[in-house]
Amino acid sequence: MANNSILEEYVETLEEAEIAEKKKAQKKSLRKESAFGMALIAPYILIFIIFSIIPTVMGVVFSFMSYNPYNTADIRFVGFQNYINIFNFDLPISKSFWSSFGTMFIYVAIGTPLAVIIPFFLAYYINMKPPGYKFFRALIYFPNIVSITIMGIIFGNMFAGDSSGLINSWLGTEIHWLSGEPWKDDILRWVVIFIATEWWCTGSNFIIFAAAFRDVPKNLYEACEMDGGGKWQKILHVTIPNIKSTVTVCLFNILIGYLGLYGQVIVLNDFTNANIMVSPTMFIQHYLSDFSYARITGYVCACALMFGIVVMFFSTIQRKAMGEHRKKSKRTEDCIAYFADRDRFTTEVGND
Amino acid sequence: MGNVLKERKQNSFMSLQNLVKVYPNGEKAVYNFDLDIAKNEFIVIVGPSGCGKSTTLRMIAGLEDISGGDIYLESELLNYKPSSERKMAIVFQSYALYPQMTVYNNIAFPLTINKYPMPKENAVLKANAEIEKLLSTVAWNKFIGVLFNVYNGNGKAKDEQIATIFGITLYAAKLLYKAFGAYCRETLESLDGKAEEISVAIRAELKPLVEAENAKVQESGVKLDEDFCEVDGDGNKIIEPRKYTPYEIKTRVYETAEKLDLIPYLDKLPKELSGGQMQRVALGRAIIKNVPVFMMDEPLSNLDAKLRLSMRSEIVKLHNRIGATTIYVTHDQTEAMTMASRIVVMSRGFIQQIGTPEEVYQDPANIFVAKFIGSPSMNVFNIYYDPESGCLERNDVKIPLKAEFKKRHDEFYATAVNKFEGLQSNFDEKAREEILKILSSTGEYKDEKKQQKKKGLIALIKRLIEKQKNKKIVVDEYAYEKEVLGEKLAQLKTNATAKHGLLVGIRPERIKIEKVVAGKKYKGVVKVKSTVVELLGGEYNIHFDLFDKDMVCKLDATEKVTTDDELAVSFSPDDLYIFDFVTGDRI
Amino acid sequence: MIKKQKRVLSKSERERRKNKIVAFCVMAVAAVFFGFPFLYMLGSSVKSDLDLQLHPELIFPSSFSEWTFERYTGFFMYAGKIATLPLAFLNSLWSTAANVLLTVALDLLVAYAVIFVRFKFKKVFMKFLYLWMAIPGVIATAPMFAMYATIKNALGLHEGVGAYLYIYLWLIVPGTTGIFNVLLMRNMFASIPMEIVESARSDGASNMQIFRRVVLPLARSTILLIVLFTFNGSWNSLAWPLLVLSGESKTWETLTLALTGYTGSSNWGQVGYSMASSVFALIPTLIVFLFTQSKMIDGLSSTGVKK
Repeated sequence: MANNSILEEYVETLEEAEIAEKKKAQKKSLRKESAFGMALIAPYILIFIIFSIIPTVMGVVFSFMSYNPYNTADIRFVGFQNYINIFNFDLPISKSFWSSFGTMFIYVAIGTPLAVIIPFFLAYYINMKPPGYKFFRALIYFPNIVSITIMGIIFGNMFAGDSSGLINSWLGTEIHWLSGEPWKDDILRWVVIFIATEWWCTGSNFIIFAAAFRDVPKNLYEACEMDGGGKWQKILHVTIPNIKSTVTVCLFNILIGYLGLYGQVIVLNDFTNANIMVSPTMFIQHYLSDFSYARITGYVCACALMFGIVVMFFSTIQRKAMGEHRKKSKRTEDCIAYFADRDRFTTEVGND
Repeated sequence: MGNVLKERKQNSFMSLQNLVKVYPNGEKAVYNFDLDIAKNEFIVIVGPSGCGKSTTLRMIAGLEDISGGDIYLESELLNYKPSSERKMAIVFQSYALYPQMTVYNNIAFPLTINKYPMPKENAVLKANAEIEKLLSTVAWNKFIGVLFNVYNGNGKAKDEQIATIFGITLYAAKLLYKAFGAYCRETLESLDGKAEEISVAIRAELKPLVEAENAKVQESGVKLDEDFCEVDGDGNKIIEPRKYTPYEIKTRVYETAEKLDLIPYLDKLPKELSGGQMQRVALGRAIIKNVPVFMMDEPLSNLDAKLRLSMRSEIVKLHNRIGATTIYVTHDQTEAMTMASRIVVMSRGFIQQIGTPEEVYQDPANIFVAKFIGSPSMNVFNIYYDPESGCLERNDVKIPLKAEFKKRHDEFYATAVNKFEGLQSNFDEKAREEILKILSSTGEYKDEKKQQKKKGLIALIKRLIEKQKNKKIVVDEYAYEKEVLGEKLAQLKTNATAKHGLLVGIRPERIKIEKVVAGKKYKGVVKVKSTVVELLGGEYNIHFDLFDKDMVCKLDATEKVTTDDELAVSFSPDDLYIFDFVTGDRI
Repeated sequence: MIKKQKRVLSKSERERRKNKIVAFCVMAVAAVFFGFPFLYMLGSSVKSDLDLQLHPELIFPSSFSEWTFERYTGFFMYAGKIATLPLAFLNSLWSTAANVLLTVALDLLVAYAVIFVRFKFKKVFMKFLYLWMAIPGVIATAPMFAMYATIKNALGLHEGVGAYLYIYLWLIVPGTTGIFNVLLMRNMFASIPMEIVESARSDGASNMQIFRRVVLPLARSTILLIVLFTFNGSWNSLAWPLLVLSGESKTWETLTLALTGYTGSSNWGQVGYSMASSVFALIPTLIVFLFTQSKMIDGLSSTGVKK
């Protein structure tokens, strides 16, 4: 008996040891793998922390500070002073900040629908595969990867304000397309900006929509046809619901891109024109690049944060609006009630 | 010939006459698909993938253009009708449900967007007749009790509820509801004695309406039949397209959902359903249209094996209940055998055989059908036929055949040679198709003439130069087929007289097999060794090698058989299917 | 007996043809809109100065003698010295190449780790990236510039090779951690059947071998897509270089930045030169586009924008 129990104990400890050994080995291999995985993402994380996270956090911190990178004596916390200054409309700098928002809103309000509708129809037609559609597809996409400065050079010269401009020479006029003063006689410049933006930005959404159109299951169209659906019913019940998620994503990208309006207003400007349109991104850029404004870096950071919050606000609204809305339907209940009703009279009569 | 077609068109429910599909790139997918379908038939088109079965179905449905031939449904030419007007419904392999709609809306969709031809009813008179019938047949206390409960219940659409309960039209229910309105405030007990009064009140409510309607009908000179439908001079109902009312749609969707056990899922979106449920929704969408022809394009291939089995029987049951003519496309011969009333076997665009499952199984027309139908599939091996002795020979195995086989054999080759010579003397498109058909049944491949087009500019230029060169030489487009024809003809000629090879097939269950017991004497058997033994519950599938071929046979699992067991194999010559390997046809 | 059946086009076929014709017309109009500016650019770059002044309404030179290519040859030497534009071109070229290489390398590493390696914090890491995407980058601009300027001052890097490299470090590195690209690559890797990798692993392949032999070949089209995106972003970036390079030597500018001097309507006599410069600057873009465009369309539809 005693021998036995000792033996059992021995076996048990042996087993325990084995299990522990196994666990240890497993842990070791897991730890090794874990270390390997983290080593792989380490470079990315390092760069990400240095160039994304730290600046963003600093941006938030700076917005509560008076900060000057060139003069350490000037650095101190000021609380909400920067924000108070932003909402102090008497300051010319705040005024120009808010007016830059106006520019941005006009651009977004008109540009976004255009940036969805035009690519949508182009994609719709390219999906019918007309002869040479591959060429057309490439051609429509190509402007999208041309640099904005080249876009500015081409359109700037086409819409040059004197008779040397292509459009002016065709029309026989000397319209100053690009020298309007913001908020005064600026409509022509807006027109040119939108034409150029359409030329420049249509491509990416066009390609994405075309892919989405292509990926709508063909059987669905056929089913709709068999059910008696016409051309418009097919678009309404098959095409749109099936590309909706793509449209949502595109719309989000467009919105983010358009809120960050920057290049167009710089490059589409007559070289004689000093009164340049200002967008929020440009506003921030401008005050950063100018050495003499270094002392208001804190204020600029607050502006950037305000602007960032507006961007986030819009993108959230857009996401919410485009998200799934499901009406509650109670067809199952109704159906059960229906069959109960249908059989009610006959069974009750039957019981009689 | 024209008359025959005309007759067929009139006599059969659906007549598919010489359907041909040529794709724009010149590729031919379906050759002369010719089939008459009777009402309520369950036709299964079966064949390996790429045989043109789906294309055929899509042509019938109007989803694909017809390159040649005609489709008649009840003597009406369908070729140029849009698919929505063809009185057909189709169920796709991928279900094709609208992802954004609930099950209810998916099923209701065909009804909501279309007008359907229906007889013109006079709503008032019909309602009057229905209420009259109800009042005269009903048990009064129950009638009033139900009506009273509905009135004081908390249901939303009370008129609809009444219509459902009494099985009357919504209009009649509305009238009834209105007429009963005066009594709903009283208690049930006080109403008990008022049956007479209430019925009088209801009739009084109806009377002026009916009189006005009668006057109107007389004035307009419209004739009505006993169902209160408008009729023309010959007493036929006038059919006019109209949309379904929401109540009609609702009831029909519910009835359909009940048939398919979909009631719990009516509020779900397709993505929340399992494959089987989605397929049932797709079926529901087809059923609700109430059309005479159903088409299904591999509806079960996306389901798992078990579900497939149950859906199979469900579809057959549904077909029996609804009685719509069904055309079902599948690559699975088991589905074809179990579901069909008639099977169409296709290969490479050609119909190989049309027949009931028994016919196709017992009496395959050619080697392709023989191999394709049946599971495990038929054992086929090469063997020599000696016309002198009338025996099949291979190595030292000799199988004597009946004398009548020789006669059949000689006849077969005589006609075949004749036919081939005829083709050779006048080689045209039809002859070419004949050759292609033979190739499709023997399974030989036509050489890939078209090479994959290389991409790129240089390749394009090279191609252009090539084309220019070739223009000068007149190419015989039938060269390949002519060559094949020549070869085949030569073979047929030698086969007609000399000793030659044949393809012989036998069904696995027709092979008699037993385990060799040491010491026992066997006569007329071949001894083999099992190579693979598969136990399928009650029986074995035993593989063994014979005549250099892997053969399968079935054996009841009464005794244990393992690999490398010695087995005695025998079969009766009557169970053999003998095919000519040149044409693939059965002799 | 066989009579050739005349092919009557059914309604759907006719409709399809009609659609194709309509679509072609729409595409033709679109092609004019999208193609014309390029023609204008090309045409103006080869028009002589005289022609540019006298015939602004023409796209191409008015006569044979008015064709000129001297603007293209004039890039490299300007008034006896090496012109700044080719230098800017070289700056752009190497910095863009570095950006693209670094981005692809980082994305591959991260995607491989996230999909094929088990490690702690994986979920946290991905979740964090998703959330971070919502934060607009503009918040970081000012502090980043402040960091850049502070460190530059502290190190005293104001001129010479050191300063140049320091500036380009700040131009290249911050753009390499785009989260969208990481997710693109991750989705692609996630679509690789796990069985392939597992079977390779059971055959005794090391991580490196799996990566090189199995994963990399499959990821080709996604890599090309990211190359296109990154190339495009880096080559065309304007805002950040404008900030970082403001006040620096002209010869250090990137090409896109250098060309801003010509944007808007140009002076007399500058049109041709600016157009020729544009054509010149467009060449690398065109090359990358030609190599990636067919893949890109597939890549976009398969891995791209679907959530």
